[in-house]
Amino acid sequence: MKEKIRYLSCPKCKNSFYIYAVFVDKGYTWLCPECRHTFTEKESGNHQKVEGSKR
Amino acid sequence: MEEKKVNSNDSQSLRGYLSKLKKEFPQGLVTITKPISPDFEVTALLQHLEDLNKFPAVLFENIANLKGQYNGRAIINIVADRKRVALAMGLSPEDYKSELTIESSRRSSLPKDVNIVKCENAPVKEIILKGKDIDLRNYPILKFHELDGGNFFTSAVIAKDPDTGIYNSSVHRLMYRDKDETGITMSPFHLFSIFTKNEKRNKPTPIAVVLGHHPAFFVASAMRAPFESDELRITGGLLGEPLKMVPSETWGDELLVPSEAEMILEGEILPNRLAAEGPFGEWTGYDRGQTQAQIFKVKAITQRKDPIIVSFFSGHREHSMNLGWETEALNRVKAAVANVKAVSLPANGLGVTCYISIEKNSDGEPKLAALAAASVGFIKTVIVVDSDIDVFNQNEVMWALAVRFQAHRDLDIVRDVQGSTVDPSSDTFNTHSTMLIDATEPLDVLNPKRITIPKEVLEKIKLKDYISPDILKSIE
Repeated sequence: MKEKIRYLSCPKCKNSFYIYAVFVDKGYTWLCPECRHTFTEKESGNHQKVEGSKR
Repeated sequence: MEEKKVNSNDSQSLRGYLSKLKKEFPQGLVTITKPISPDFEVTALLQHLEDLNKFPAVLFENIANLKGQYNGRAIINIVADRKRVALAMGLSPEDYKSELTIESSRRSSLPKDVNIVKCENAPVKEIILKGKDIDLRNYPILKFHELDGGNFFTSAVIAKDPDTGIYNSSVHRLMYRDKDETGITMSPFHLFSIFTKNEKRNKPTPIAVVLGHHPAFFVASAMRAPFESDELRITGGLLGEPLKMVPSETWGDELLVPSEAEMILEGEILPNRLAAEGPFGEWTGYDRGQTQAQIFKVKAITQRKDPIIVSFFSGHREHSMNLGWETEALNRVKAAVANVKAVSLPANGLGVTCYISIEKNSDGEPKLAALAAASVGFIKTVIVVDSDIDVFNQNEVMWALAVRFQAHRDLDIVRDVQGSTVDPSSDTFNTHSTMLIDATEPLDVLNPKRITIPKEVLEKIKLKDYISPDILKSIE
């Protein structure tokens, strides 16, 4: 199945949210919607939806 | 901070429209004076109303700003109902179906040059804030949905093409980032074209974010008219009088701003800068994941003393009630075929489904009409019917689809058409497939006749002679 969205998880608060696959591996910095921590994809946890996260 | 007295007659302002609404269609406006938070509480109230199938304009007189101070005013759902939009255009609320679109189409083809007024006659200049006085946290900025990544302005943005000087106005979302900064998302359309031209020259793009104005301003801003069309002149056409404009604080005559607006953020979209933006609940009803968007730096705020900030209820009926696209669709279909009766973009089609009724002269006209309409916005399903079908009555459109359409003969699909970047059904980031349906009766065939009751009998038998008003009212 073609990937449409990719989950990132905030390395600080562990909440997850998704980005569109077209933005993956482009070196962008992301912003955790919960704790406002900024991080790169490399710093993100594994790209699965985190259990218990509302997102 | 600079504060001044101004003279104006409110003839083309939001509050002029609200006065008219209170007087002529009071059932279309609800005023909330109880304190309410912009974080989900406003949208929760609107959701409850929506669950009751009610879509009034809701004016909040006591909404908190981002500092938690309950001193703001905001209004939402101003274009959620066609009857109120008809009233805004000077029509009777009862003329909300094809009459509204036809009149909007007529007026949009008669644009008016703007009228430049003096600052002392510009209510939007009552208060002027620059430098360290700029603080977006002083305003009620809504957080709409649970997964949203922040608080968002949803409003019209004015910019000027650097080469032609033609003005553009379009509707965008802007996520609060800092006291003088927001993100701004742009579809690959007119504002993005203006921005790209400037960015290639390493220049910022001056814009004015219009946070509150007459509904006609937002109808024009949503139209997706050709690039050479100036939505500010189209607004004048819709209003029936030139739109009043005034030189901006930041650029003077180089960028004019609407003088009757409630509040304006003047600033620049920065070139070669992207930052994380969103997530945000979009017109699709889905959460659009976090994305990368440009940055808008605020350089000045001008406002009325007690501005009413307009927000659009994203992902709900107001977002789908797109008279702007409907008007432009009618304009393009009229250019393609001779006898268009009506065009409708029903709200439950999210503005991407279009019905067209025509009196066709040839069997090729339905497809031509459909192709013309499908070039507007993100319209991706077009159903063309004969002129005996009321396209504002979905039962009739569905009836035509049931008995005047055969998929092997009357269906065309056009693939890989540029569309929305937020459609979750799309296989790609920004294209969709367009479906064109011809549900008209073929001309070269003797068709059966629709069933009817004899007209003279319909006129003779009156309901009131057989069923009492009380019983009639109680029937489910």
